[in-house]
Amino acid sequence: MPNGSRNDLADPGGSPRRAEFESLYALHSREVWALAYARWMDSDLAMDITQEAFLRLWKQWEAAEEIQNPRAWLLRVARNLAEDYAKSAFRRNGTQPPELLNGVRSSQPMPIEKLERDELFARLREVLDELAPPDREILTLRYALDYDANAIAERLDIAVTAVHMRLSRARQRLAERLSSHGDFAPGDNGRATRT
Amino acid sequence: MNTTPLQDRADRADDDLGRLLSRYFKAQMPDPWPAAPPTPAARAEPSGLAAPRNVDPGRRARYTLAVSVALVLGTCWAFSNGFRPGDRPGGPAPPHGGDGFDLKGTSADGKGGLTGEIKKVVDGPGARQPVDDPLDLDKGN
Repeated sequence: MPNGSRNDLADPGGSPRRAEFESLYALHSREVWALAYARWMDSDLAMDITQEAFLRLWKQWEAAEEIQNPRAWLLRVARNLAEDYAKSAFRRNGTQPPELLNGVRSSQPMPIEKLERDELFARLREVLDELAPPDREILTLRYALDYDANAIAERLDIAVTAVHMRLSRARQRLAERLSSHGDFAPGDNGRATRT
Repeated sequence: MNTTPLQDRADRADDDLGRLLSRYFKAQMPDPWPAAPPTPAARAEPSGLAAPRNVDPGRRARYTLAVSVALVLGTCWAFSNGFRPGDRPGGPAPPHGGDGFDLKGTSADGKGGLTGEIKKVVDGPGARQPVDDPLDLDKGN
């Protein structure tokens, strides 16, 4: 993995720094997005934070700042950006809340399956939003990025057994909330169903 | 190891929830995944090669000042004792055979030099006389 130091720029041809930048983006952008998404449960905002974090990495390079571990650096910057967003004027004043925008319907009729799925996802998003951030984070790593327990343990710097425990508890809390709202019950064929 | 029906039900619920979460998160992730953000074009390549191109902004001004001072000094030198027209190929000979212009008139009779020459011209026969009768347009002269 490229380490992002200035010593890697020996190649005089082409654009080695841009190539390194894109390589880092391909490697880590989904993880950065997942971290931001777990914080705010907003896909577009998570992508904005991801792109901003990478642009800041580029600026650091321009300022000749050496970054030993770009992945850790990016995740830290994304986390800070996500927290800063909580204090920003955009967050306070906002545009239209997602609940309102979800009510804007297309003129085209939607298939009933898609409507049901969107409704279920909206409810799931709402319940995920009620969970504690650490629960959302571990669920996002597991199900958005398909990380196994070892990868999550490495990412969160905890033991693998702790990953299993935290994951199990997060799932349990989520299931309880969904069940209490009558939105989830184990189906016969492994499908989530509305009850 | 035998599992109880309750355990079976819990495992199946976990599987269902896992599938639901996977579907949900996959639906939330942008597809296709956006490309890396464009880096500012003005700041082309932040490499070590940029450093030598970073010239001193005051260098041009200092160069201009140095040329100006040299020009002034050279002009002063030329108009003091360094300018010798006779030395120039094809140039006029010095009026009194000296090495250059003698503005004070240092010849023996005191009339030499440039001052003496000017006096000759001013006091000579071709010297212009003062006009007593101003031009009168009414008289026709």
